[in-house]
Amino acid sequence: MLRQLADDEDAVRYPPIPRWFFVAMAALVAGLHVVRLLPPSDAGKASLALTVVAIVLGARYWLNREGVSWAAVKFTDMAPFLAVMLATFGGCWAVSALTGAWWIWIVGGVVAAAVVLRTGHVYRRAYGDGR
Amino acid sequence: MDAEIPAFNEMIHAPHRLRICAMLSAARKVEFQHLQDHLGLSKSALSKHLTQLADAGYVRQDRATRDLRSRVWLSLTPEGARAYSAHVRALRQIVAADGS
Repeated sequence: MLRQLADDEDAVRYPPIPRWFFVAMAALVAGLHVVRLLPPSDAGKASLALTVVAIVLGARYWLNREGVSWAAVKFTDMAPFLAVMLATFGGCWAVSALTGAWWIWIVGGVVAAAVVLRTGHVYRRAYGDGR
Repeated sequence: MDAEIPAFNEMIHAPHRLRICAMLSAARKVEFQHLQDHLGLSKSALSKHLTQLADAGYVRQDRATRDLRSRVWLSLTPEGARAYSAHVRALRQIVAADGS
């Protein structure tokens, strides 16, 4: 019975999401890394724009969709993914600041995009492939 | 009622009402049609369960018109959310006691 309840909750929390969503998110997180190569004021504006697009996409295609208004995602489910994203970004920041290795942002962008695509693959295998 | 304290709830425990509460607990609002599609209940059966939950003060119903179609959105009230949470804790306690 508890398993059934968890499945019912997940059916609302985690809808089938199409592959393009994760591809777009991967491009956005890669972009968030790569824009650090721009001059600081441009980097700030570009980061803000990319973040807004990511939030709008997430709100439109995940949290709010046909039949569901503001799905309540469990923080504990998201925590590992968010931790890896923060670690990647923080690691790039630290390496770049300490060694001046600007190219680390490109490496970080590739790593972050790969993590998003991998997460998307696992997610779609567990919850289905939306159209 | 404190959601931290397990409390078995006869009103919520009926299988379909329990599943309705589970779905409603995972979002701010869920549309009637979405509940019906997922649970595989007839419109009248789902309405009956929702009326019972609403009468108990656990579920709130709102009507909204979109694309010229009237839609019914359901949400757990704060009391309903606490009751569901406490009931799930009680179920977990029963399962744990069974296993030990």
